[in-house]
Amino acid sequence: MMINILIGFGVALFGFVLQTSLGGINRKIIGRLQKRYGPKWYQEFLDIFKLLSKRAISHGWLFDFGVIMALGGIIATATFMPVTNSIVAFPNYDNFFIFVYLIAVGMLGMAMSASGSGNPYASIGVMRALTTMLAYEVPFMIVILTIIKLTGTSSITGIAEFQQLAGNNWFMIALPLGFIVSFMALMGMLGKKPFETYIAPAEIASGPMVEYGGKQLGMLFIMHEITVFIEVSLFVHLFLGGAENILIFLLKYAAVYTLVNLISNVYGRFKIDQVVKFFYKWPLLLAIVQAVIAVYLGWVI
Amino acid sequence: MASLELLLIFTLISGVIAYLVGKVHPKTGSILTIIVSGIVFASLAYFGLNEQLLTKVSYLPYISFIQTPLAIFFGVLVSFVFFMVSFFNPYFIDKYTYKAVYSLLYLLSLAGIIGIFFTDNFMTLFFFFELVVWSSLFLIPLGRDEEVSVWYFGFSVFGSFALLSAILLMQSVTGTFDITTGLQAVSGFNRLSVFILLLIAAFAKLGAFPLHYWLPKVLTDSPDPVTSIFSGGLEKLGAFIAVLGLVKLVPTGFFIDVMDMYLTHYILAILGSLTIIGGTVMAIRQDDAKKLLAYSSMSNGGYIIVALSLGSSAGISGGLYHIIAHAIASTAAFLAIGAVARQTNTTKMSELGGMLHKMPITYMVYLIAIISMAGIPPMGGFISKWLIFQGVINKGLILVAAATFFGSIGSFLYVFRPLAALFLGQELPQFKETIKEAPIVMLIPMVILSLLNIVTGVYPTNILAYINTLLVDLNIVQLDITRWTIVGTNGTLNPALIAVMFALGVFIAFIIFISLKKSRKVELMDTYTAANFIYTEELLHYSVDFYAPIERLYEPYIHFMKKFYQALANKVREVGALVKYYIFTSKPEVATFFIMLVIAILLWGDLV
Amino acid sequence: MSIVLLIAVPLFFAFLGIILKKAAPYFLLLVSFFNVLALGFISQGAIVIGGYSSFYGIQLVLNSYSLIGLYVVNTLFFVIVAINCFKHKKLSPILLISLAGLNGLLLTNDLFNLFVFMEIAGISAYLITTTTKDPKSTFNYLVLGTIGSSFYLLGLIILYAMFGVLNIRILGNIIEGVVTNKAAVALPFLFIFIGLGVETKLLPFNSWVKGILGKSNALTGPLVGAVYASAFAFVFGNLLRYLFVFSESLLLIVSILLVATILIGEAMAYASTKVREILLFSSIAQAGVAVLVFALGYYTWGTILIALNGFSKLILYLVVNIAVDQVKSDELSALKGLFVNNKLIGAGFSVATLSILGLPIFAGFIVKMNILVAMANTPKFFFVGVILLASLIEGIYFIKLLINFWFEQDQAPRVKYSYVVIYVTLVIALLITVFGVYLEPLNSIHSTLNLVKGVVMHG
Repeated sequence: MMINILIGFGVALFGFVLQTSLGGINRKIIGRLQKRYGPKWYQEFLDIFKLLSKRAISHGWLFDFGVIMALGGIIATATFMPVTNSIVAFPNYDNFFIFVYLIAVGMLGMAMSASGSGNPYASIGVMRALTTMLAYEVPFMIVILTIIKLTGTSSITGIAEFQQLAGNNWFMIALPLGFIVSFMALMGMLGKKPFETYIAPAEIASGPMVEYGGKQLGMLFIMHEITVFIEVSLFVHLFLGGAENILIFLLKYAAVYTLVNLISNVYGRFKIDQVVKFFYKWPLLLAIVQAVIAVYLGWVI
Repeated sequence: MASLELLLIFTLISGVIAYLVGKVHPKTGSILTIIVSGIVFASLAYFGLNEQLLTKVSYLPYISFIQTPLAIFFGVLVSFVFFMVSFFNPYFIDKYTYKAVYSLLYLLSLAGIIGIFFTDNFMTLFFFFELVVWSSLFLIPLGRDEEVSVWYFGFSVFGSFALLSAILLMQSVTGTFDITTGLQAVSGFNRLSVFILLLIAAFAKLGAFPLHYWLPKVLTDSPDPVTSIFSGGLEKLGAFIAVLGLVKLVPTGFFIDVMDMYLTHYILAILGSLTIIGGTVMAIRQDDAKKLLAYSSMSNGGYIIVALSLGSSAGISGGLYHIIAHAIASTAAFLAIGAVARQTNTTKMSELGGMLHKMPITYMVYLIAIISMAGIPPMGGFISKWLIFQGVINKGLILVAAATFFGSIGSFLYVFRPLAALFLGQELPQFKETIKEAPIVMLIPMVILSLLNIVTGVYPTNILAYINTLLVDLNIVQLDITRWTIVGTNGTLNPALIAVMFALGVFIAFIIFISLKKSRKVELMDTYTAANFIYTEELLHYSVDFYAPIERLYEPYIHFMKKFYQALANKVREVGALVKYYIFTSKPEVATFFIMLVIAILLWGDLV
Repeated sequence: MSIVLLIAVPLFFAFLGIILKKAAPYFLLLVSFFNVLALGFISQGAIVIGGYSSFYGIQLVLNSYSLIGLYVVNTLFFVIVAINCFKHKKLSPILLISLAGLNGLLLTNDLFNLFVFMEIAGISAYLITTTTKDPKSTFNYLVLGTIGSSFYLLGLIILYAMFGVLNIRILGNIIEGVVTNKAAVALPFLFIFIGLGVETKLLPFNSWVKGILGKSNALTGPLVGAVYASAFAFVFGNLLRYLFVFSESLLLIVSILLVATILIGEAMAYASTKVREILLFSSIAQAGVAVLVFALGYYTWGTILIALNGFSKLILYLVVNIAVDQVKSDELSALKGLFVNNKLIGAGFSVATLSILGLPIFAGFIVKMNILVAMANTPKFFFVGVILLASLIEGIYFIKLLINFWFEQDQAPRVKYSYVVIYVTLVIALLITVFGVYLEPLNSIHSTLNLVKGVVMHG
């Protein structure tokens, strides 16, 4: 059991390093896209460590407790994430629903602490974050329901291994409509434009992050990086067939994240009711259609 | 005391004593309710869980008792809720117009509960069912608005009469009022009718769509302890009837192969889904914290119906576990709001804010309760939601699953609103000096309930083992559980592991936190305002129209149920007024005309 | 003591009271009390006036059925009189005559004698209702009552012409034995039904009720609403049991009328905002239920239902009428919060209401359940549904009434109830609660009524 827990924390640390580096690399790619040099690939590390070393303000015990709860919850979630078929901390217990809800604990902690700061921008930002979550989760979960029904298991490693079996395609190909819907949901989850409404940097002063500084902000950045890691690797395992070894995992992960970034960089930002209306129109319809044809009619490619 | 009959008589007599004592000194009368409900709970829990309840009846006429695992399950849960809420009675008793009667009615409802769950005779069940209806009916108007109790009575009696019709139907077929023989012996069209009638009764009591209209009104305008009893205890009567109808009555009707369900059960699942969606959507837009939690109760009632209609082991055990988890969480949340309302005299979130700083324990109680209600680990709500999801996905019910997910995520939204608008945010000046933490006697039940929330989430094995014995009694495959894990149909869950990892994660984050430089504490008003100077807290507190963007999207469509019921009431009134106008004139010739008409109808045709 | 004394004594003292005007109220009080007492000492049986054979003579029958009816009517009458006798001194002889008429209605076994007593009771009722000071409704009542009894007379004339006998039991036996084509007797039975229906407040014959009971005071309200209603219901029940034979179309018409009475009565009560109107429309519906129960053949529980309703109604009418008399308005909004200062009366009133609604630990629940179980076993689910629907609507407006009475708005009305009223209310409420839990007395009444057979035939 101790070994598993250590492996879990190792995964969390790996995820943090991976995502921070990849984030930096992506900033360089986007920079080049916009005909400029872009910052160094380790820029994000510098940002986080700078923040952690500064002294900041606090609005009370809940303000700090919420940040600790947020980071703690996300680290706990990350320990459950399988990296490849063999590197997984708790082999049988990596249920899909655990990820969805444990991320929610982290978010709740952050939301609590943000609202506890007393700044209305923070509450508005949290409100938008929750609304966005309501928007993208329902179509996403319908697609996941289809996947679970097809594979018969809700364990992430199980689903990944199912796709690696001979004769089975990756779900990206087998459930194309579902893939498109989930990709859009992934962009909502990551908070990338056009679903960046909950942070909305110039509009509501970064939303929940408005009152943070110093170590609290640094911890929240760490939390954000690990959250992105969890979400993108979830997507990799669910739709791209997981990974047999670490190199393939890195490749798939980098591909997904870079693609998301590239797409999001050509968009502006939706208003919050546009986000909800967007997700409840075509993505929901497509998800239901996909579920019907896959579960009831059995037309899987 | 081990004898059910003695327990019942004891509760009834102490009700009368509480009334008499309460006439002299109201607070002592209410303290009596604490003691009596505590004794009832302790007896039911101790003797019931050891299966040692005595069911012999010596004094009471025409009443017979039986102890079944289902009865003990519900009886212990509801009496526990009554016991916990009774701690609040002494502090609220001064707000009522009729103080002594409150204690009497409280204990009368409790006595009715014992009678309903622990009997094997339908007529006894109905006797106590109606007793609970009218004793809880008169508790409601002691709160804010009296007229809502009439709506409660109307819907409740509609449900009771459906139950009575089912009982009479079963009795006319089998010749007896015995519950088990009655449920098993009906067949054919009678079976379908009994099924539908029992479910109507369950829907009316649970407050599920379309019989939900009374629930938010009543729960908002009742006194705060009464709301907690309703949400945590009396609605579970509906769940009990639902279990009798859905699970004990062997299913019937057209079978849908692709979903592995009966059509009747599928329709029920759809109605449950509509309840979930309706409750969630209405809860998001509420400004009054109690009304919000009332809609949340409605939504959770929908979860219970969906779970029970699935019929599989994951579904039924998920539903039963949800009954426990929801009862505990909902009672705790309502008690927390009640503790706040007692001092501020309002539950509207637009008038409150920043309660956290003076009432931290109440805040933690509310936080833990909503984590459980939203179904987030490591609290009890996650286990039941996980089981329900297992059941729904396994049957491949897409639309029901969509509704369940929607309700699950939507619950994050509406449980967060009181947290942010009521407990967090700025401290409003009118309350800054006067608010204190709730008294310790009120804190005891809240803390106990929070601990239970955590225990049911981290170590559910004991309760699930008891539910397994219940499943045997209901002829359903047992749930596969080991000491630390639950095996569902498509995955395994280890709740303790999640809790441990969460604790370790928080510990690591805490280490990181304290090893860095200490922060400087600043005032709440000292925040980023883009260089504006603000001196009033109200302007800096975000609570009005919290979810305005999403509310605007569905605002035009939500009032159809209200319009329907008001139209119904108006139609009855119109019929009465019409007849009054035409027949009840003061002209004898009109009456003579009608008499002649009747005679003419008799003589029509080839009679004589 | 002989049965005739129950009728003769009030009649005698009525005429004495006309002569000795000052003593009349005291006569009233004493005689009504005597009537109640005497019931304990009269032995059951049948006597024929004048010693004729029972085939030709006027027979008076005292069996457990009529004994229950007599107890109910006489006790209720005594209570009402005790509360009201000194307010309407001039009416004392009339009240005595109505007492005689009511007792005669319950005792007689002769069709024409029943008509006579119906007229006696009716005429005294018309005179009593003049105290409401609304001559138009009294006139309406008079005309309709006369029409009703004329139809009754017509019906009994046809029956006499067909069979030559006026004794109810004997006639009933003959009809059952002889008649093969039930349609032949449908017309006279319809006339008798109409005649009794006018007084028993069935739709559509009851348009007098709104005027009389809508403007009632503390005397006419309980008298017409509780005493007369119970007496005529007992009479109707008696006839339904022993005399009536229903043909297909008659049964259909009667069922439709009764169901309409019940449901529309409840709807009308729901549509009213005046308290007296709510009560009177509710009485209409309950009269429909009582007649329906008898028509379907559940005689024992029907009897208990009428008795229970009589006592409950007494409380309702007394409380409401006294309140309306003192507040001078019968709108619900004017009486809001009535019980805030009259808690004992309120408790009694609530018990009576909850019993009428059929809620448990009160006697009404037991009666209602037994009736419904009996109906479900026959099976007559349609009527079960009708009664349940009616109870639902009734429950809604009665609970609204109760809630309005218990919780005041700004200023609770000041109404003073005399100690007699409070005492009577509490005693009846206590009995209702006790009989709701301790079932022995109701069960023994039920079994004795079951044993009531045809009376001794020879005279």
